[in-house]
Formats: sequence, structure tokens, C-alpha cells
Amino acid sequence: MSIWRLVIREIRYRRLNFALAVLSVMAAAGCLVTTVTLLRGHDLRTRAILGAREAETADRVRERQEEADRRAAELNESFRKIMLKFGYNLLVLPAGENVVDYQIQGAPSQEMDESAVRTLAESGIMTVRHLLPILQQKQVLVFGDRRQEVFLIGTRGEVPEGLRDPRQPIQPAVAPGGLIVGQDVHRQLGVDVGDKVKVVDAEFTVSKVYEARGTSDDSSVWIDLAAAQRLLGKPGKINGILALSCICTHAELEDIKKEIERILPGTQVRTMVTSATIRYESRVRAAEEAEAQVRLAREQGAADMERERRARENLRGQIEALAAWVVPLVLVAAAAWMALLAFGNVRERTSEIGILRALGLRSRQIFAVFLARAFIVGVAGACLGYGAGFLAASAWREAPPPADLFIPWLPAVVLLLAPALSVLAGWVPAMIAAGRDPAIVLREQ
Amino acid sequence: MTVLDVQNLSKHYRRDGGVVRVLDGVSLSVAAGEFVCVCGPSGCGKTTLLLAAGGLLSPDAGEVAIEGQNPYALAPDNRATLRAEKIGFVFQQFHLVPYLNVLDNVLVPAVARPAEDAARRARELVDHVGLADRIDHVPAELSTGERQRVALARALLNRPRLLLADEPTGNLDEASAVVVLDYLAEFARSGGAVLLVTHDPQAAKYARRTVRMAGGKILQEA
Repeated sequence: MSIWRLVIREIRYRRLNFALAVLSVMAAAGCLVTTVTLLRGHDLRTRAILGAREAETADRVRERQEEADRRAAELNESFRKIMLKFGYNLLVLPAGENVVDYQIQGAPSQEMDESAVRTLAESGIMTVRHLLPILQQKQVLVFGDRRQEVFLIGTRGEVPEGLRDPRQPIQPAVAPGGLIVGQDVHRQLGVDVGDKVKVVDAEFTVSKVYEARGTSDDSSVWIDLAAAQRLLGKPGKINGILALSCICTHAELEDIKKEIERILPGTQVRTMVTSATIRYESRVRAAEEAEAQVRLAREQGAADMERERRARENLRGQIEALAAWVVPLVLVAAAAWMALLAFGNVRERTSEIGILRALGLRSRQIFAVFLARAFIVGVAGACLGYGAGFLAASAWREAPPPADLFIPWLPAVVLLLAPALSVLAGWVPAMIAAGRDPAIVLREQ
Repeated sequence: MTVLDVQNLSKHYRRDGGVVRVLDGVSLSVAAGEFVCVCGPSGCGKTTLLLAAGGLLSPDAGEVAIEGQNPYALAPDNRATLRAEKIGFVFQQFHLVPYLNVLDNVLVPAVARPAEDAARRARELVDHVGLADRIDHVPAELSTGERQRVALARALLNRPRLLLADEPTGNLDEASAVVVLDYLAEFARSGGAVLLVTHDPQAAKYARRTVRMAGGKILQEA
């Protein structure tokens, strides 16, 4: 026979008292476990929500980035296609040409041999797609009794590059005797296709009217190069070569110019159009817009996350505030209830205490009998309370999986705290039991 | 050899503002192998004498010696040990532990004084008092006579030198009372000392010596 056997038998005998005591410990432990586990669940949920929000933001940023990239790529492609047609346009002029005069006059004043075009075409330069020899000079166009000074341009269409297949001429050749007029000339003089006009006493028939280009072309007329050379008294001469649709980047342009000047000594090369700058600016603008979109998406995502985080923190604070008084209240109530039950147990066992003392049990053994009972109550309540509390927390509809909810240190804490609480609540009743005078008990019986 | 020696024992209680003198200079001794019966009416101080003799109730005056040792001179824990080793108690109300079966009830004194052969001796005692077939029964399943036999076996577990019995037959029928008294007499014959307090004249027949008490004093000894 031992104290433990006495305790176990007594517990089996007074099941209701034991069950009620265990229930109170279970309620206290369960309340604690549920609260702590729910807080952990809340934290995990918060982390998951913020993680999802972060992922959403990242997706949105990626989508915006992809959209921006796609638009930039489309823009790039458009410009690439455009530049395939126009590219960088260069003008090869005689070295002696005063470019200021050229800009002011709108036409070159110096000439060079027409053979320069063939030389350039056969040089194998890969970056120049089209070569157009021109002989240009200001002349008066006469249509009936109307006169108009225009840029007369003699051209013979494209000279194909020597090592490549012939391609569609970028500038159609003008048939001998024919003349093409620019849009402003067409409007100013009222000339149209089929009309007869005169230039330096030579008569031409208008074969085509160009659409408006918004350049000096609108004030120009084109005739066959040989006719122009004859008309202007400059046989075998030209005063410019248009190198059109150069396949290169803006950065490579200077190298190409130098290469052409090397192939054609005695010439100078000028860039004619600024489409590359437009292209560059467009790219920058597109990139800036894309960056702004991405930045906006990032800022919106960050703001959303911050708002969500604050809301969750606020909710957690409310749960903590509630738990801060509910949990202690439940613990105190449970302790009081356990103490009452323990007092009842002592009263009920008065006779037993008296005879145990008479049979030689020391007061500390009686104390141990009651404290051991309280300890068992605490352990049983802790186990059941932990299980019930964990199940209750797991039943929360937003609860993460139980494996994630599990807090490794919590069972140990509950297993220490609940028996301690139970023993504490049973301490005074146990002391009263241990201090009972057996003589009084036995005499009263 | 004197097992119990009580000299000039006095004890009073305060009740309802007055003083009730329960024991008034009582002297008594019980030798080994002696069966002494203290008879008297209810309230004459018999139970107080028994509790004081058993080291459970400290007297106001006088001396108690159990095999020469004064229990009240000992610390409470040592006094409890003295009781566990040398005294067996039998009460009118049996005071069995309700949730223990017969065997475990008999074994309760082993909590205070563990012994290797306690379980074997408990079985022997249960067998000796004729309850071998009721060994797993709890007190609620026993008759009053059987319960008192269990209480008797429990009192004998630690091989006490002194058996103190307070009205052990008070709740029993005549046949059961005879059985219990026979066991007490047998204990005395085996060398133990028995102090029986009762108001049952029948019980006195089993005693070698009978002492009459009234008003807290011993009136006569026969």
C-alpha cells in the first residue's frame, strides 16, 4: 500500500468530484491553449494574407512590366519597320560644298562625278541600302503664263548596290520627257498630270504629283538625271548622292559617314533626317511610362499591404486585450472552483483523515495524499484542456492546418502550469486536512 | 511487563462557557498478555481515556507511557511513528476507508510503516478473521460484523504491543460481538495488551480485569 494507491482508489471512488475538478482545470488550460493557439493562427493567417498580397503585387508589377515591355517592343517593332523603309538618310556632298550656303540655298552649288555613285555601290558597304544620285538646282518652272521658282532635281532612280540583288527602287526613276511635281508646286501653279510645263526652255509633261511630305520635296520637281545634266550644262555631273535607309544604330552613324568619306575621297556626308532621335525619344518616353506604371503598381501594392497589416495588427490587439482579462479570469475562477471542490473533498473525508492519523500516518503524509490528488487533477486537466483547446482553435474557419498551429513549447507550459495551479488551489485544503486533530475527529464520530 | 501505564491523567474541555472535567486523576496500567476492560456509562470519559492512552489526545496533566515511552514527549511525527509501531485501534464506527477493499483496508497501516511482508501478513490476517472470500469487497458490501473484523485485522497488521478498542461491539449483534471479543482475548493470550472501553457488561466477561469509571474517575477495579 502506498500513498499513490490510496489516491488512485479515492479518485476512482469519488469520480464526480474528480471529474468536476478536472473539468475546471480543463476549462482553464483549454482557454489558455485556445487563446495562444488562436493568436498563432492569427499570426500565420496574417503572414499568409500579407504573403498573398505581396505575391499579388509582384504579379501586378510583373504584368505591368510585361505590358510595358510588350508596348515598348511593339513601339520598337513599329519604328524598326518604319526605319526599314526610311532608316537613316545620308547626303553625300562634294567636299567643297559650303553646308551653310547649302542650308540657306536649299541646293548644293558644287558638283562631283556621277561615277562616284558606282564606286560607292561597288565598294561593298553593307549598311547603305539605297543610293540615289541627284543633280539639284533652283530653276523657274513655267506653266502657261505662270512662273514659279522650284528645286529642280535630276534623278535616275536607285543605283542597286553592287554585291546585292537589285531591289525595288526607293525613288522611282523619271521617264525622259516626264516631270514629277511636289504638292506645293502642284497647288501653286495648278499643274496636274498631263500638263505641259517648261524648264530652261525645255518642255516636259507632268507624269505624277506627289502627296504632301512636309519637306522641301513639296517645292521640288523631278526630271531624268541625264536630261537635267543636259539642261543645266553639266554632263556626267551630280551634286549629291542620297544614301537612304542606312541599317545602323545612331551610335554607328559617325563610323558610316567616315567609311563613306574614305570610299569617296573629296566628299562630305551629312545626316538628313532626325527619325533616329524621334525613335530614341519615343523609346525613352515608353520606358518612362512603363516605369511609372510599374512604380504605381508597386506603390499601390505596398499601400494595400500596409493597410492589411494594420487591420490585422488591430484585430490581434483586440484579441490580446480580450484574452488579457478573460484568461486570468478563467484561471482565477477555475482555481476558486478547484479550491471549493478540494475543501468539499477534505470535509467528506474527515473520518478517513482521523483514522489514517490514528494508524500512524504523519501529517505531511496526509498533506501529500491531498496534494497528489490535486496534481493528478492538474495533469489530467492539462492533457484534456490542451486537446480541447487545440481542437477549438483548429475549428476556427480561418485556421491553418493543425501541424502549423502546433506550438512546441505550449504543451510543456500547460503541463507545468495546470498542475501548479491545481496544487496551488488544493494547498490550503490539504493543509487543513493535514492539521486535523484526529482525536477531535474520532471523538465526534 | 507493563505495556501501558497511565498515571494521574486529567483532561477537561471548555463547553458552553463552562469547563467539563472528563478525566480526573485517572491511573491505570495494562501489562503484556493482559485484557483490561473499562466499563462505564456514556460520557464518563472512557473514549477520552483511550485517546489519551493512544497518544492522540494530549492530557492536561498526568503521564502516559507506552512501554516506558511518553508519546507526548515526542515530536508529532515521532508520536505518529510510535502509534504505527506499537498501537492498534479498533473503533465502534469501524472507520474503514470506503474506497478500499478488505485487503487494502488491512494494509493501510503499511503506509505509515512500510514492511516487505505487509501484503502477506494482511492476507493471513484476513484469512484469520474469516474473510478470505471477501478480500476484494469494499466496506459497503460487508456486514457490520465483517467490517469490525476487517478493522481488527487492520489494527493487528503492524504487530502492535497494545490494542485499544473503543466500544468495538457497540454496533454488532451478539454473535458478531462474541467473535470480535474472542479475537481480542486471543490477542491478549498471544502476549499483547488490550484495553477495551465499553458500556457492554457482556464484554467485561472476556477481560481479566475490569475497571469501572464514572465522572472521569475510576471507581473500582475488579
